[in-house]
Amino acid sequence: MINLMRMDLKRLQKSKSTYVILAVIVFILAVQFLAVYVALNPDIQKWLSTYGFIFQVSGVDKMRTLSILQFFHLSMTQNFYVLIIGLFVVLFNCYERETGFIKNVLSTHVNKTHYITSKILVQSLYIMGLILVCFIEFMILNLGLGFFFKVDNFTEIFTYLILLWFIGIAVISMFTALTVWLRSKSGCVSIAIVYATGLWIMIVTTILNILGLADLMNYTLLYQVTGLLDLIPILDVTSLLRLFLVIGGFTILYTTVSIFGLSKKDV
Amino acid sequence: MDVIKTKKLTKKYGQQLSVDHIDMVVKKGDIYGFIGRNGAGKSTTLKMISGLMRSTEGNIELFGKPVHDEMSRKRIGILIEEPGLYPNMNAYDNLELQALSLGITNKKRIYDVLALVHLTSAGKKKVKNYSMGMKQRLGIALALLGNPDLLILDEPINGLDPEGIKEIRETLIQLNKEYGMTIIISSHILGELSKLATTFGIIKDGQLIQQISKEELDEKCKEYLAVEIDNAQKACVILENIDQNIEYEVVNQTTLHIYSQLNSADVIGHLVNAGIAVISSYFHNQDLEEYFLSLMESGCSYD
Repeated sequence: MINLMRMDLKRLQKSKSTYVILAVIVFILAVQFLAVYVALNPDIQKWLSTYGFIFQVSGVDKMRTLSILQFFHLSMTQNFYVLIIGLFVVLFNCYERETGFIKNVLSTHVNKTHYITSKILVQSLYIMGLILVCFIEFMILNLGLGFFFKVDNFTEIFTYLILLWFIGIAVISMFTALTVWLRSKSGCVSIAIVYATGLWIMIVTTILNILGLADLMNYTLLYQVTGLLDLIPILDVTSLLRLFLVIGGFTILYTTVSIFGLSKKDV
Repeated sequence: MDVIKTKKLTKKYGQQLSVDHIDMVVKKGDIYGFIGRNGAGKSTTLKMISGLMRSTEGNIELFGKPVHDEMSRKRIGILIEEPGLYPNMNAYDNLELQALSLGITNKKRIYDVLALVHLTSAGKKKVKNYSMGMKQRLGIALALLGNPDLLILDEPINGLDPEGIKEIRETLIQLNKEYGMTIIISSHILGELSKLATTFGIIKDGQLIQQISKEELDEKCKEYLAVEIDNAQKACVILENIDQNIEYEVVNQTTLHIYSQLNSADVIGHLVNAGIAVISSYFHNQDLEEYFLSLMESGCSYD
């Protein structure tokens, strides 16, 4: 499996898309950061209005109590985080199949568990890097703006980022299973968009409400992502265990589904 | 030693049999030419042997072990259908990825296989800018990278120019002779295959209708003088009078096939002088292509 991981890491390093995705995300977040900064800062608005800019801002935090972690959470987890992972996993996995390189790999590697695990681990490392880069970007921008957003304590930041990454691993496993079973890049991308944007939530919630199983929605990966920030201040052993059970359960489930799919389907 | 041995290997898509109970044997050191029309089941068979496709029935042994044996599979190199290459990378990068997956750390091996397929000069050129022949050569290099004991090549000379075909042929013969590499190769260019293969497997509608050695094939395709006469029995006596060691075959009451190298005019003269009516005579020389076509057209199976 180490050999497969080395191969996947090298591919990650050699692929332009690795850097393009990262650059696009960094750019989007920078624009978003500056837009929110302007929206929350009347002095800047006043200064810009002298140059003809017109501002119509609503629903913003006028008390300026937004912390950097809250802002990061709002920026990353409103569908963005899951969407990034979905697109990245689909592009990475489907490309290997599309080019036929998978034939070279699977003709000499019998163990499908190694193949899937290698993919998930390498992509997890990328997502970890991505989270760190994005957060460091936020910190640098915040520093540049004289700590406009208050900085949370280190433990909270660290815990949040680690847990966000762990949830990301489960999401990677989920999209890996999707690529193994569906194979079509366009199909996988469409599903990733529908899933990440939460278009399905209303329908599923309605059905679960009718069945009296509405609580099940609290155990979806999307719910874990969106609810993570609220969990941090009240994090105890029970809630952490519950979170790990959900993350671990989904990771194992989707990894198994991927391995089973790869074993049952022809290359 | 049998490098590949399949027993009743079958692949079904729904109710349609793509590969129909194939019993194939490839021995160590063989260059096995796998011949069949488009859609006959060649690629499907090779994919099952490479572990890329599950069989519906039957089993496959590689080096005497089941096809899912990790160590046996490490001993194969494949090029099936299109070469599996990343178009946005150059030849070295593609080979490096495969080398890493195989645990090869010595970079020299990459340069060695690049030199073997004459792609050293390709440099930083991306694979997407390669000609079809260059891609095929790089695909072969990928298959050779792990120094395999068994090379599985599906249409490897597709798109190659005559010079490229010759180079690949010489490389494969060299690998077979010098390193004892067993090679299974499918191709539509039967003339080329006949220069290379030591054994042939002919597949038709998913069934392996014949496995034949090069010697047996040469025997079957041997040049002969076909003579159509009115009395074969009487003609046999005349022929043996011409040469006691004459090699011939009585096909039926009116047809003889004479394999010995004799002057055809003399033979016919002797027959006519003996009062035998010679209705027609012609030389028959069959090559692999004609032999293959005759098998395809005959519609019957051979064991």
